[in-house]
Amino acid sequence: MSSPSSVRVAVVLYENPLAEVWRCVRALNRSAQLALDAPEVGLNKVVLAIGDCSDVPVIGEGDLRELRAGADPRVELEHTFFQANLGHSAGSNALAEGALEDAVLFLNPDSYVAPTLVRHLVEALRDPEVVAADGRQIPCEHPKHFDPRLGDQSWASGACLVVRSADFHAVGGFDARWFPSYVNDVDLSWRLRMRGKRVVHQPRAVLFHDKRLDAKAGVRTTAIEPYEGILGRLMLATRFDRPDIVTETVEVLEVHGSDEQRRALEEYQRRHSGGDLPPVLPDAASVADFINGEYGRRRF
Amino acid sequence: MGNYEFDFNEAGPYGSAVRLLSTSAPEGRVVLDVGCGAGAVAGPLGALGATYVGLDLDEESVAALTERGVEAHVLDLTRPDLREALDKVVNGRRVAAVLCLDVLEHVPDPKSVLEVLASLAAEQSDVELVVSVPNVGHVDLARQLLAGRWDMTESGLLDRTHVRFFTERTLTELMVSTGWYEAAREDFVLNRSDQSRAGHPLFEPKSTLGALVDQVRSGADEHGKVNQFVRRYHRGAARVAVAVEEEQPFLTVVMRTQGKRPDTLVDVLCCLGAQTDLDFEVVMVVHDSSMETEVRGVVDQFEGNLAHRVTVVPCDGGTRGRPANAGLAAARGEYVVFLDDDDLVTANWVENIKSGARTSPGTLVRWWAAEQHREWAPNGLLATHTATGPLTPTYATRFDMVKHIRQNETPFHCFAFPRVLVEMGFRFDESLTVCEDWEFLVRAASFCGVHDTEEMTSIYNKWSEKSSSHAVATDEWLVMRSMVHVALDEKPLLLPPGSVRSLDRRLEREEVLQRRIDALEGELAAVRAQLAHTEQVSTNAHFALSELRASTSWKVSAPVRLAGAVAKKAREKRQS
Repeated sequence: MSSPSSVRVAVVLYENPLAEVWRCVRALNRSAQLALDAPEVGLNKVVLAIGDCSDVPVIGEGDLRELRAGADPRVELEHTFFQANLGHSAGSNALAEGALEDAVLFLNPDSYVAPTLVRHLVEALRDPEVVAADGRQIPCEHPKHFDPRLGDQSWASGACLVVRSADFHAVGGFDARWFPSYVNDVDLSWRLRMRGKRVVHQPRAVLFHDKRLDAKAGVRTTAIEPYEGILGRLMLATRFDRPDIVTETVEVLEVHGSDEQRRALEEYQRRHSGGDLPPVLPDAASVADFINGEYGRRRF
Repeated sequence: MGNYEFDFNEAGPYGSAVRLLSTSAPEGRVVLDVGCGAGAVAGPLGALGATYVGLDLDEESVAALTERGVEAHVLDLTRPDLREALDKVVNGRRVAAVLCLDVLEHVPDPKSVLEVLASLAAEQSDVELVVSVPNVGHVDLARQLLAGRWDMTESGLLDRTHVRFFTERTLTELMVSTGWYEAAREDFVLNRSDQSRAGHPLFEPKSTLGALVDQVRSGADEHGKVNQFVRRYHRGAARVAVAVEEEQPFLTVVMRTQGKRPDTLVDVLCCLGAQTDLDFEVVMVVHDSSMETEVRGVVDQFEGNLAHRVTVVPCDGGTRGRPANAGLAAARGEYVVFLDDDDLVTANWVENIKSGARTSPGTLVRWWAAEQHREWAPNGLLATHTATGPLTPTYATRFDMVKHIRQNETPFHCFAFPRVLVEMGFRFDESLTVCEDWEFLVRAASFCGVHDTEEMTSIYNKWSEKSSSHAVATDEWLVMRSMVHVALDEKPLLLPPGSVRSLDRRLEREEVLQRRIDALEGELAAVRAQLAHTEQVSTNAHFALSELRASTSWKVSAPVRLAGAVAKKAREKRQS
């Protein structure tokens, strides 16, 4: 049986409202509780590790006591105040470091997981070749392609990503040096796949991811996303040995890029001049799916 | 003599009172007519075999009755020893009934009078009480107030000696609180009360304004045309309605489900569990009561903070309007919104509704939806259903009443309305198999007006036809559309401010288009005429030609034409 019998849930906070933390923990606790209750799932331990990168702790001592009191006794709640904004990658790595649990579930705090999410994600790892799985996000469903029968996909979203601990550590976890917060999930997925392992999508594992829509039905982005998205793409293309994608991206942005995107381009060129770029991974291009500006096929 | 010498009239309130008593076997027993006046019902009750006893404050009335040979006594209902005085009158006789016809509205403390009568009845068996009081909720009084008038009169609804005023609700509360329970009623209806003003548009049912007032009043309850409540009561235990301070959520989310698609139901519940504003309850109407347990099971999988907000209401039969009405009936929120079990909303859905309601109280709150194509997956695949297209801003337009009369442009989960509309008689039309939300929306928007928040917080899932359980045949939809229009046309419809210019623009556009059509039709007619003329010329020419060719002169001149043609060719050759 390859299904993990213990899961460590890693949640990295940065200036999140306390109500959002409660929302996340309430739903996660219930989902863990139902998975622990079902003997056929084979899960016997869940640790919820919250790491706070905020300037001032989001969760006070009293809040922490209440969160613990509201949690199922079998769900152990750990809390770390990092006293620094580590970024998603370093924060997640810190929470996963030395994890004794079989798998780590990285979860965004702006989420509300369905009661059956933990169970479905644990079951997604039943096949020993599957090392990572993500869930279906609502209300804005991710358009990336997945195999309708097996779930195989190019990469798994870090908003809700379960990874076998051993495999996570074997690839060195998230790459905080080159991908501190953005596209770090694509990078991790591809490095896992380079080892011949499978990264799958489990559409029955549902999580509400708090995305808002603008008047044109576009998903609202944060101010920094256009910058980080482009910089991350150029770094990914560099690391995964796709100079053609770097060239294409640079050429397109020089003509059509927004101010933020051009700023990212300048930053990339500055790093390039200074030799401050990730080393190319050998044989990386085989997993690097750069298709139509995305990191893999899309369904729509 | 007092002012109340009304004659008995079978068709009037007195006739109703006597009929209400006729089944209670008053033969041989006393009927006390409290506030009897001229004793209008003495004769008819005597005919039923009852011993009529008139009681009144007015000595002249009592004397007149006594003179007619009818037993009558002077009685002041405000006297502190009322019970003893009544006992003295009854004097050990069996009492069949007590009448309080046009009395309670004249006494400052009707409650104590009714309590005394209840105590009297408690010592006898089968004592009935018949009450007749004027209805201050008659629509004519609403019309008068709208006209700025409150005209007291010598008699009638606003008799100047009335000191208490009753609506159906306050009368019932008073009676129950004093231990009297309604057994029968024969309310006296007057379409035009004494307060009616003939010819005034507020009062005339054929005027638009009059019809509108009728529509509003009849929506509230069915007593708008009742002039007098005439009711018979049995004695029972006194009960006072205790106002329970029930916490009212801001919003009731009514969900209709058949319980067949638990996967999408889980998705919607996740959306609700993730709301940033939790000031809501969920009324989950299961439109197939056999699925109630399954649906409750799905709900109970969720964490308590969501699960405890959900009330599951079973409902069977009928169209889609039936569970919608069941949801309305169970709703407690200040506002109500519908959310079907296969749509999605963002986390600020409730927050946005509340913000809209606080910005524009009493209005219908409306927002936008993105549309996404979605389909159910065949069995054996990982996903049970999946999105097949991007989010598109299909429903991102401001509310336009005129356009909505033509077609519905607002998904059901994109508007919320004040629940008080239910008190005003708003229900979903259960005769409609589809479009029930459209008819409701237009009527509600007509009354409330619409506040557009212009926030996109909903996602309308457009299921592919082959996988949709709601696929509706076009002809059925057309029939329902026609029914909606008929229903909307039965009553006046209010248009919001700004409609005149909007309509004017549309009418202008129609005129411009019509002129263009006229011009094009004129051009087309001219071209056709020209074509017909040309065809005629051509036909004539052909005819003339064929006649010429058939003529003898043409035939005999053939060699000449041949020679001419040869000579012409030879000339052309030389020139070239």
